[in-house]
Amino acid sequence: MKNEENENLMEYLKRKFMVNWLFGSLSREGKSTSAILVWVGFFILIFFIVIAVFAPYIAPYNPLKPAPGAPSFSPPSLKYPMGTDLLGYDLYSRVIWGSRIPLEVSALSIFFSLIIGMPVGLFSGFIGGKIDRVLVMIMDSIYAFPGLILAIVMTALLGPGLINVAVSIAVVYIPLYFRTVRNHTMSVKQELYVESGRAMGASRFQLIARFIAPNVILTVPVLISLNAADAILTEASLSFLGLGIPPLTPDWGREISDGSYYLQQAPWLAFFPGIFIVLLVVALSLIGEGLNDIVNPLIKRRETL
Amino acid sequence: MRPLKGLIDVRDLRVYFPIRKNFIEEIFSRSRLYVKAVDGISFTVDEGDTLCLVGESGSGKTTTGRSIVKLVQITGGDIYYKGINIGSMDEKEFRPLRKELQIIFQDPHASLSPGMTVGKSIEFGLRLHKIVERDRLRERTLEILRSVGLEPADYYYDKYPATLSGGQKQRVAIARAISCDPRFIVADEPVAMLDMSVRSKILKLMVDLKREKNLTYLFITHDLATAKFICNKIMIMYLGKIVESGPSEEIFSNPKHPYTMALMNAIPDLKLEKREKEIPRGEIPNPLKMPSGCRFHNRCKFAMERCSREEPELVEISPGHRVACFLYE
Amino acid sequence: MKIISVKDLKIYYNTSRGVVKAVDGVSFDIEREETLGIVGESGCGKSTLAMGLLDILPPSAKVSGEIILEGEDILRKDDEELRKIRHEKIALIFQDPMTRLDPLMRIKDHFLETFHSHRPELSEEEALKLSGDLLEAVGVSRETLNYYPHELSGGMRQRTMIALALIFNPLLLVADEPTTSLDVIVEAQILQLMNNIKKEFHMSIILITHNLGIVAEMADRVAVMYAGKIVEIGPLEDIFISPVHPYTQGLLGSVITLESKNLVMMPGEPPDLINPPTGCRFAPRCPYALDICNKDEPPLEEIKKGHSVACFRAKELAEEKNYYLRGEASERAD
Repeated sequence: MKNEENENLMEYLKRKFMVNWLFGSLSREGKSTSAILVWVGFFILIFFIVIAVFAPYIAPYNPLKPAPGAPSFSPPSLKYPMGTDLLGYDLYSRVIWGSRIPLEVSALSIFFSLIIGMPVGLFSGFIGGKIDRVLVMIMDSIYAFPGLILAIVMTALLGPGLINVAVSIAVVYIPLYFRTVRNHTMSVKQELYVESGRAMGASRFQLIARFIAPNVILTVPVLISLNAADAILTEASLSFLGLGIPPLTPDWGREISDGSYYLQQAPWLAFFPGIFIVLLVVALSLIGEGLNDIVNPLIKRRETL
Repeated sequence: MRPLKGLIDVRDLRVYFPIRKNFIEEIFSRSRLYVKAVDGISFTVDEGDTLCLVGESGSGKTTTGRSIVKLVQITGGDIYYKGINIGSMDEKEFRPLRKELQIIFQDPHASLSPGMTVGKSIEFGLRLHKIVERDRLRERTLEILRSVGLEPADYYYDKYPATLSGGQKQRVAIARAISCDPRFIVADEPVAMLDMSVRSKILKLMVDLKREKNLTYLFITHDLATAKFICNKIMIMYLGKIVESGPSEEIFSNPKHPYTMALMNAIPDLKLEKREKEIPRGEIPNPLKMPSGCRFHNRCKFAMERCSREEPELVEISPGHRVACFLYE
Repeated sequence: MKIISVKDLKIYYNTSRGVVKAVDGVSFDIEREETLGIVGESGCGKSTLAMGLLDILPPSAKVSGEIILEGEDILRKDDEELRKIRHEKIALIFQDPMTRLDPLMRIKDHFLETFHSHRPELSEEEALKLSGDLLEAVGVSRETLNYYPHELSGGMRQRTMIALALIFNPLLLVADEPTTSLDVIVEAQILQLMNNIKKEFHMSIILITHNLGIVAEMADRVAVMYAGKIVEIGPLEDIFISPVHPYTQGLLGSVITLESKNLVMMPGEPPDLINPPTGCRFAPRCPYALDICNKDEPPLEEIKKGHSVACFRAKELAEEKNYYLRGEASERAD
């Protein structure tokens, strides 16, 4: 019996959730560049999630009030590691707390995009014909809209609020999931194993759910990471423009917006939140690109999904 | 209408595939172009037979096999299974019968879903057709794996297809096909893509399974040697029609149709006599440009004037032995 | 006269799972106008060997050993010299002509491009005339020059490939599964064609295939490959009528012919080329295996003139079938 160790590890992990499988294939890829990229990005992401979750314990001051006794516009110091702003708010605390909104909003928006984009994509790809053409037309029109403008319009329509912002951003990305899943579905549905499913007597729903979806789903994690990177930027842009979230809420985009007025006197106000956004977006992109590099050859080799 | 015979009775089966035309032709031309993959064939498969359907590319053999299990839509004619007309059934009506009429495909690498383990692939059918209760699913699957020679069954149960060899994958495909206790299996070139040493093992497996489970096979192949080895009845097709059919012993010892004889001649064997073979000229014509009259006449060394005008009918020249050739009319 | 001499050729691939030893020490010679059939099943390394002979391997391949053509080791040559050798001295035809022919170029352009890159001094007219002659020599009408590859049938495409291979009257034609994707009757036609042109053009042929039937029709000598190594090599009659190596015996026994009554079933499967078993690679499946077979690799040794086997029990197995009664055993430096 050949190929023992490698295969067993891979299959064992695949039996668990997809996340575990990803780790499995990553450890197999070992020291390859793609794997390193993913790990680096992943750890940065975890770092931010930890910050967001433990914000109450990490942030020294209440972000919604000026730090007691803090001077305004003081540059970064031991007491105020990222400095203070006009009203004496501790930027460090606000940046720490400010990690929550971007992460929550993007996570939520991805969730919404997925639960609509994927099933509709599967359905459309499978059914083909006129229905598919109409759906593609609708989705392409949404896709053609510059993302940010669409998000702005949606926020304006829906009004402020965390969920509304998430929905607005979700709308921008639904076509992305739709297209990818639909295209992949169209090619998978021609495959011989789908036909063998039909020969067994699978209904159309079963064909989609059991034969097509599992084999289409692997392209999705890549989409999710790249989508997340983009969503964070979109959210930051929206809040930069003053849309979506109520004022005073700690949020990196909002911080940059506020800080942009004082670039001369207090550059740190825009710098730190800016750097954090960049870091998070880069991390997510690394994950996405790395996953892509790993997943594509696997798909080609039909080693999985 | 003559009485229905056998397990499968096919009457005047036609399967035509329309050619996609481009936009302009679609609007301006009236006639539709079809590839007549199967153009009026009739045959029966008796219970317990292994009927080999032999032909080269374009013969219609694969399309015939697939239409019997309704993976391809029939354009004309009827297919009867145990006396029931399945040709005209819709998918919903036919679905419960699918467990009795199964198919094994040629490409073992493509016919198994990469995302399903071996166990799950087999359990799908068992679950769908409610062959056993839920708690006995795994047990039954393991039994089935053992019966196709995949042991230890536990080991293969959790394997993904990508980690298996061609021969192993084909065993899984066979396991899947027999899982629901079918009566009739279409085997579409099941060993053509396997190595020589693996072929013999898979064929032996299929023969053993047939005996154990009382199966009937429609075995599609382009290789006459494999056909001779495994079948008791044989049917040779050319460009959508049957040119010769009968018991395999008879056909192999007494081939009548020039195409059958050419095929037998052309098979490379292991004998080392370097004889100069007589090979028909030309190749299988484009099905859209079918020769007039007998479809083989332009390559046939016995062709007469009549052959270019009329198409010969399939006539019985000795018990069970049918030929479509003017040489024998 | 030896046309080409391959000495201890090794082709290893670096993959993420380890080093794949696709070809692991292969040696053979080919004489003028001789057809060597290289047979084996999937994964034995025969296709890699074909690509290695023309050095058209992917960059991840590491090659060692020697390939001596006309007295020079072509593995030591630089790209420019290799380019000349490819096609002019050694030509290659593949299983599926569609992958070799450019679907956007007419057949005549395929010919012209080759002429242009190797014989730029010829005028287009002359090149076209030669191309037409070649096509007719392989049984295809001259007008085919104006067609696109997809307009030709499978047989015509393969004939065109052969014509392209013959342009410079190469010393050696390497045919990698040339008829596998063709129908039986067309296959017979192509094999007949290849035999004819071999005589006409005085070429040697290396025929790589898993189909023992066509080897029987075409080859003068046969080499059997298993897991990256040659396990037996010798004249066609010897290999087919009195095979010595257990794998060869098993392989021949499992071929289905019109006369087959009982087939041999070899247990097991070929080994993983990343971690081949120690010792003889066939030992795990071999009914004659001894202890030593699991420890040491048997060398390819002559048991009779021109017939070599890589098996510790070769002499024994050969004697069992009275091979020594035919021809003389060669001298060995024992």
